[in-house]
Amino acid sequence: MRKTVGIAIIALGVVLAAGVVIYGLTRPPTRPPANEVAPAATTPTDALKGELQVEGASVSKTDAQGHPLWSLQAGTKVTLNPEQKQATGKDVHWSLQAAGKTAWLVDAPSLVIDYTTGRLTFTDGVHVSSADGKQQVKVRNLTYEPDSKQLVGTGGAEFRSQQATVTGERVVVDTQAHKVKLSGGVRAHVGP
Amino acid sequence: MNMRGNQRVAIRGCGVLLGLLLIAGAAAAQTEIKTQTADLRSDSMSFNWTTNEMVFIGNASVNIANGHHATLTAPKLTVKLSDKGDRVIKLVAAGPVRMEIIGAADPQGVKARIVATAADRAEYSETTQKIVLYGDAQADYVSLPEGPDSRRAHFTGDIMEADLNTSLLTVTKAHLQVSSPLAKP
Repeated sequence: MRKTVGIAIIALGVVLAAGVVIYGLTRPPTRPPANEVAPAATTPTDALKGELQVEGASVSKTDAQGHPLWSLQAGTKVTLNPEQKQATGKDVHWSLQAAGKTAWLVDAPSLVIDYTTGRLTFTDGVHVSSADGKQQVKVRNLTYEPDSKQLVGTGGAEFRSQQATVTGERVVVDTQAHKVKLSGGVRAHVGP
Repeated sequence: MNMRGNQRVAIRGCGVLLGLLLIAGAAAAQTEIKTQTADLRSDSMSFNWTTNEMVFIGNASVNIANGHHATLTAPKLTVKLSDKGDRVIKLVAAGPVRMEIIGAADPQGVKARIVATAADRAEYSETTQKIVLYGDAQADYVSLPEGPDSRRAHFTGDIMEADLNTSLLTVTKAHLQVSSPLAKP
């Protein structure tokens, strides 16, 4: 009698285990929403293949030789829109690389990345800082032009270089020529 | 020579004239010019953070405050900043240049204004503490408040050099014209 009951329990266990395996194999996989990069996502969309790497809420771009050009950390998530070939991010922290080092840092509430042009547009109050902190820019909106490697800002621009402060309507940071240009009713103050 | 109740004297020189006339009250104040602050305006400004040099273009003006009021206007101003960006080490104004200085009061409590112009350029150096005007330089001195009784002087020359430490004005190829009120009997 005991032997029969034991065999029955074992058989029942085998049947249940088989059922779990079969259910697991036949169940369709769950996927995240099509247009969002979840924090754990590591697979780039077709539009971001190549020199853009998406990992979690981070995006980075390298040149053809694999040298880093810039990297981006988003406070929440990076949303991809393959139809418009754009990615958007909120509360972003972006760093521009030059000669293998971080050269400039940009913090902004909002960002749009255009895959086609490679242009990045930061909006809603942007703060730019050189890596050594000596140069600082505050401006309403800012665009990174990848071809010229310039940061172009518009709207209430304020530039600070240590104890010199300059304000204007438009600001251009030429990261290669090591120059900042302001225009439109420029006012400057030198000294404490 | 009498002109509107004032006495006027004209001196012409072909060589170099050392004029000792400069705003007397400005002397003490301007010896502290290393602690100055400067406010500038222009249509556009370019800053090279490698050379610490600012270039202001289009309706450029600089106002240097240091116990006196000094304003310099020109189409283009090039400003070399100190390493900390807290001082103007050198300033070059590309002409035509206009400079206006209202000095601090002298021991008698009298202030004076100097308005100087130059066709070519003006240069200021923190090291030498001099402002040099080049090219058809002219300067008008008047004691304040401006009125019939004001002391006046008009300088012209090729080059005008104002030493901010010694209050010495040096004018090359100078012409000096001075007018002052007649002494009342």
